[in-house]
Amino acid sequence: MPVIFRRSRDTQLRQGVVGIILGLGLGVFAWYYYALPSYTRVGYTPVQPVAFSHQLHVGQLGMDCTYCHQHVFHSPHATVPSAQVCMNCHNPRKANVKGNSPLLALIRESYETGKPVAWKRVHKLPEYAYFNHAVHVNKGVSCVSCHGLVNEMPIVRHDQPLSMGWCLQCHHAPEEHLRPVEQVTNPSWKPEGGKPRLDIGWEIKRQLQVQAPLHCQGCHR
Amino acid sequence: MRGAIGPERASNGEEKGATMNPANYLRREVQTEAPQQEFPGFVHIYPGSGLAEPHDEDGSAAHWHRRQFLAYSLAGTAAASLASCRRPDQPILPYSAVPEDRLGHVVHGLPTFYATTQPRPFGSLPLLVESHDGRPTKIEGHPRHPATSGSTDAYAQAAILDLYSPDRVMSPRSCSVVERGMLRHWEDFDRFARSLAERLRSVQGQGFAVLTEQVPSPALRRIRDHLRQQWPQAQWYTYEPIDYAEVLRGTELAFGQPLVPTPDLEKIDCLLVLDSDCLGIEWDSLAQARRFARRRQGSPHHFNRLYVVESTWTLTGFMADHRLRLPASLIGGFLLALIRELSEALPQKLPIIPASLSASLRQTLPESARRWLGPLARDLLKHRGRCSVQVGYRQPAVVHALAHVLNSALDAASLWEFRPPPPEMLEAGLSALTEALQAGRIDTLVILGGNPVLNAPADLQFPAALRQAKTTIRIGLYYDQTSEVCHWHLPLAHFLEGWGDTESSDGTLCCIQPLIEPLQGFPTSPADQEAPARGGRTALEILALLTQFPHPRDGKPVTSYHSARTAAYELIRMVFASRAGLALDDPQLPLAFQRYKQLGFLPPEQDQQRRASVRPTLRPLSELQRALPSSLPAPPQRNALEVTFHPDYSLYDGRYLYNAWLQELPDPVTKLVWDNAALISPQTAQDFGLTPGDVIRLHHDRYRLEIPVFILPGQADNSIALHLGQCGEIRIAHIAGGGGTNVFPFRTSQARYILTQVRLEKTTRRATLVTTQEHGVIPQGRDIVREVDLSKLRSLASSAGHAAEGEDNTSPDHNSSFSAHHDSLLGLPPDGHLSEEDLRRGYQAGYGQVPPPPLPARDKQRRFPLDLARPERLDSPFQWGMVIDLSVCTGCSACILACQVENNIPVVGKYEVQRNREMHWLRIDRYFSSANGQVADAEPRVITQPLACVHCEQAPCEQVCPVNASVHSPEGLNLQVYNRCIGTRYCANACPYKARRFNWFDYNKRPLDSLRTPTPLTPEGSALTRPLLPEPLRMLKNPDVTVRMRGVMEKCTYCVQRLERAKYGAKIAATEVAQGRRTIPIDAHYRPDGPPSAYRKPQDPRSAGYDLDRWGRVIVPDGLVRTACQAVCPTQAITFGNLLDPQSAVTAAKLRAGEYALLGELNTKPRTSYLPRLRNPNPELT
Repeated sequence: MPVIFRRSRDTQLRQGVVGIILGLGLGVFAWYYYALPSYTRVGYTPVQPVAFSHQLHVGQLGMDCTYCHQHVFHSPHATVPSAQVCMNCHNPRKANVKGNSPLLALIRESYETGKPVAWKRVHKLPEYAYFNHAVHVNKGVSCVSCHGLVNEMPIVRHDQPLSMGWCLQCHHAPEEHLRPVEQVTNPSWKPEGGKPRLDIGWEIKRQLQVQAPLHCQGCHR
Repeated sequence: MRGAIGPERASNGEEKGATMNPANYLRREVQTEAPQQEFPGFVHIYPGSGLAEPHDEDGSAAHWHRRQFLAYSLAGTAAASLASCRRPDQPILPYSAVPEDRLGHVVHGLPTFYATTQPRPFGSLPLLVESHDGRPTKIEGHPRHPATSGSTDAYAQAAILDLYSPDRVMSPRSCSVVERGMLRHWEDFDRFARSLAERLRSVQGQGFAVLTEQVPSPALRRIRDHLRQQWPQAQWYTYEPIDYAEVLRGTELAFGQPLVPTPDLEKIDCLLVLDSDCLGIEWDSLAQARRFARRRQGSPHHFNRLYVVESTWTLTGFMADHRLRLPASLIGGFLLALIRELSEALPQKLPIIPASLSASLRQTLPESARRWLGPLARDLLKHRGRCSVQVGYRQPAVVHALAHVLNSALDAASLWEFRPPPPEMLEAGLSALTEALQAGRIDTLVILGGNPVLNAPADLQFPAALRQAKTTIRIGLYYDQTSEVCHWHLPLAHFLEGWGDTESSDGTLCCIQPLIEPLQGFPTSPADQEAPARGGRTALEILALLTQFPHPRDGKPVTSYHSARTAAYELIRMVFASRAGLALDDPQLPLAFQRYKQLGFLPPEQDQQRRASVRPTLRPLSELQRALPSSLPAPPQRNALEVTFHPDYSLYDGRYLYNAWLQELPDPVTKLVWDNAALISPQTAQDFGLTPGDVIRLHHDRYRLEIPVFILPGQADNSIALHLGQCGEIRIAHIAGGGGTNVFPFRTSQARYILTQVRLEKTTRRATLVTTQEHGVIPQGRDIVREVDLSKLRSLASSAGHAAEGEDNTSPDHNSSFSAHHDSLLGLPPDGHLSEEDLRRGYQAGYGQVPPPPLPARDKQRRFPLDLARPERLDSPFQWGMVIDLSVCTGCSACILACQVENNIPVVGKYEVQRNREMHWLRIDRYFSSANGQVADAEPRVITQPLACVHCEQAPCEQVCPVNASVHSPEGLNLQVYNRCIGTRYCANACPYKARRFNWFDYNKRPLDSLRTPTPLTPEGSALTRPLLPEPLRMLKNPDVTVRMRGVMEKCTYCVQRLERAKYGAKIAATEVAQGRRTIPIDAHYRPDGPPSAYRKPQDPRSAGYDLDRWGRVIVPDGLVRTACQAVCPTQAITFGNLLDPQSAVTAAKLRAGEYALLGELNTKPRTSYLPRLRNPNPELT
């Protein structure tokens, strides 16, 4: 019989198969590492048009989340505040807290002309996911669980992946992330009396009958 | 060296070429970066440095070979670019300052509801409009208004598309001031108006005339009175193509004064309806239908009986217990024959029918009609005092008068309410105007609303007469046929865009308030920046300016737009004040006016000037005797056919011509879309040798009409029904094709509704008529719709051991002997009705049974939602179900439109509907009854059945989906997850109800005339990068519902967005009360089974917004969440709610005798079930 394949093809075949398997494995690893929200979203820190620092306002000055984000306990969407809220303190004609600072020029311009400040949106779910913010906050999920320690952020960064798998982790076991509703906006809350966090979670879950949906109707319509 | 990795070492082991001293490298250059995700080995790569110097643990620099450096930097750049593989930056835009009217109570994401009214001739419709972020998105009925109690019809549901219609808003002509074909600005018209007013003042208004619709409007009446007073020579005319002039003349003949008669259908046991669609689309039909339905639901003991005599099918005919098809010109004769039949029993109360007329009746009326007379007369006499005869507006005045006489003879006059007509109905009409125009007496004519050039009677030749006037000003929503003839076209603001007032059919003063500023006309192309010139004004504003109305505040005549705008608003306030009996400086007025605007109407008991009902007395019989004809006209025959004109169920009289939703709505009777046809009976079709789609030519006098034919069983022989409204091939926005035949040229003022002596000629042409009747057909021979005679129902109920209606059927110890018949799940009895035993065993969530206890809090949830081997545990405190009562469904199709608006269902166009691709989630199947199952009887009956996804508990569609996009929720809903669907369409194949719809093309995103162009090569650019749907239509979409794209299956979702919103609302309300943020009265006696929670049970769940079930779980009170179809139904045929609530309406409906599941024998266990059509026939007539 004539020789069809030369000898080196054997080695090449073996190396090729191993190479393809390793390549696929690498590809799968690369996908599950790089292409999921845990990589692409976490750490996203867009530069905002106005250098608003939560670290200063919340961490240092101690403002409550709901002073500015007024509708988080009522609205399906958590919105950013209007320029009017900023002007409560920074109006050069009224309270005048650094009212004429050049950093606040855009806010003043927005308040005078009515043109909205074009903040860069940090947290955004895809449009096929209908997320209701108010019901989470009212049931004991704190700001920190999803948005991270905002009181330590000079610029807001995307702290948690907010992927479906990540949401389902909590929906499977909400007791790991619940706290009393009054403490939801308190970034430095620690369970009082040294009780384990999980016990408090179970307690809140029972009291408020937290039934986080695990079926498609909960978020997709 | 090839393959060497690591610092190149000299042969003596020293590091070669180490030039970098690690101490020179300042680590803080790295630290000033915002902390990134740490990647091992890459921590020191920062952009722009050009040099990468990884440091080992001990701080010594590793000297890298160039190749490795490149490899690492490349990998690093790739990683860094992967890190930028996220969505592009998006802005989020807040308010700059929250507007005053929103501060504190309007929340982004939650809708706000405003009360307004849709102006209609003869009686406006009170509405509640849902508004998202300042954009109205859905129209609902006003639940507190006494006239309609919350119903709307298809016209009201679709009115919101007229607001956003691209033909109106994006067409430069519709939305701009147009003078003699050229675009102008409002300032040009204002100047013209001022000069016109100057000129008219000098001649006392000589030559000025106004033509309006007959919409009642007290504010407009004030302007009219001012006009008459200021310019005494000016004229005011009103015209409607469908008007009730004969009704008024009939009451004038009978009572001596024109009155509007309204029966109270709730009190009437036996009703004879002659050629009237009182339950359909006639005046006040919503209130009538609801009152009628109350006598058809619930206990069979007070069922009424309905006899209908008509020439074509109407919705009232659908509901009839007995229906006689008779040509419309003979219906007067039928009433005379009935009077003759009753004259013995009611002597001296009825006019005497002379012998000649008697003989003529015997010859004219067909056998089927004569057979009716005896049993009908006896039935009316049996129900004396509780019966009624009602005549429709098509019949001549003498027939109405005869009916009034007959009613009072039968002691039924107290069942009718007679009200003076609104003044708009009494003004001079179009013939007077045409005559004045032709005589040259009119220089300036203002046409407000309507479309007289299209729908004026043909013999008046109104367009030619119109050209006689020197200046014609047309104020209208669209640039239509009348605008083309007139000199000026002024865009009218839609009723959702401006202030106004009107009256509902019972005379209640209603407020029209705007929900959005007049849409300014979006630029049709990026280069077109002329937007500010466009935008509509309301009729009050324009007419106030034209007539220089004195401003209510200071009395100065209005000469500018700004003062006209404020004058119109103040005028409404003034009208309200006078109607409420308050002086203009009364301190209570501001609050009262605020309440009026919020409620949307002035409650009748506070209205000082409401048109109160009167008790008229009959004129002497001798007067009516003189009005009787001496003989009847000959009945229609083959060479002298009769033609009747009817308003279209979709377009009414043509005012909704440009409304794509209404065009695509299948006509309730014929199921035609985008078209109209001549309806003929099977016998007549056979006589002429016609098949559906043949084009015929009708001849009368010098008028001709060519129209395709549609064969309708149940149509009177030798009578042809024509539907008004269509006007030839039209193109709406981007939808090509479609449009019917304009029948207005065939209509004359002598015979506006009934035309005789018509000849029919068959042409050789054929037309394509598209109906949806054959779509989604469930094969014959199955038990689909059930009709039950009332007498049989009573025996069925008693033999089955079920409680007859009216008894308590929901007590848990109800001992059902019926259950002995049902001992297996699969061998269901033919009627499919399950006893309570079956419900407990068969369905996971039994109706009204004790709900399963919730999982203890400490248990982890061990259920795997994707486990196909284990069905979804239906363990939610909500188990949704629906019952549709076929006894009261009239087939009006308002539910189809409500579903379309609420769920962003696209329009597909005529030719896609022809291919069975219509997208309506809910369809109404119309079934003719027949004895032999093949062809409908000569005298068929009709049942209409609304059908959408019935949410089977064992759904075939869930079992076949390869990607699990069709799943079952723990609440009993069959869910469709759009983002998972890949479009195999296997689920639609498997569905036995054919309730699923597939998005074959990007109907929601692309113009319908470029559906088949491959993306991205559409003419307007790439469909991938920007949505091609016109912007106003995007504003219309409901933000709570996904807008589906191509390739995805969709179906009824039980309005899951409303269910979720209700659940969120209940949970948030309960938490607010628990947290003390809100105080409400608490029910102190409540103790939940199981461990107590933080929630408190309210005393009034409906006003609190939540309730607690017996386990203490938060639930939505019954009736607080309504699906779109349920909310809109005029007769409340659809009941929806939580089956686990023993007191809910839907549980009671499910346990009613006769309830059956459609195709229940397939064991799909649907959550939507039906109540059969109950009939109350007269034993003598069957």
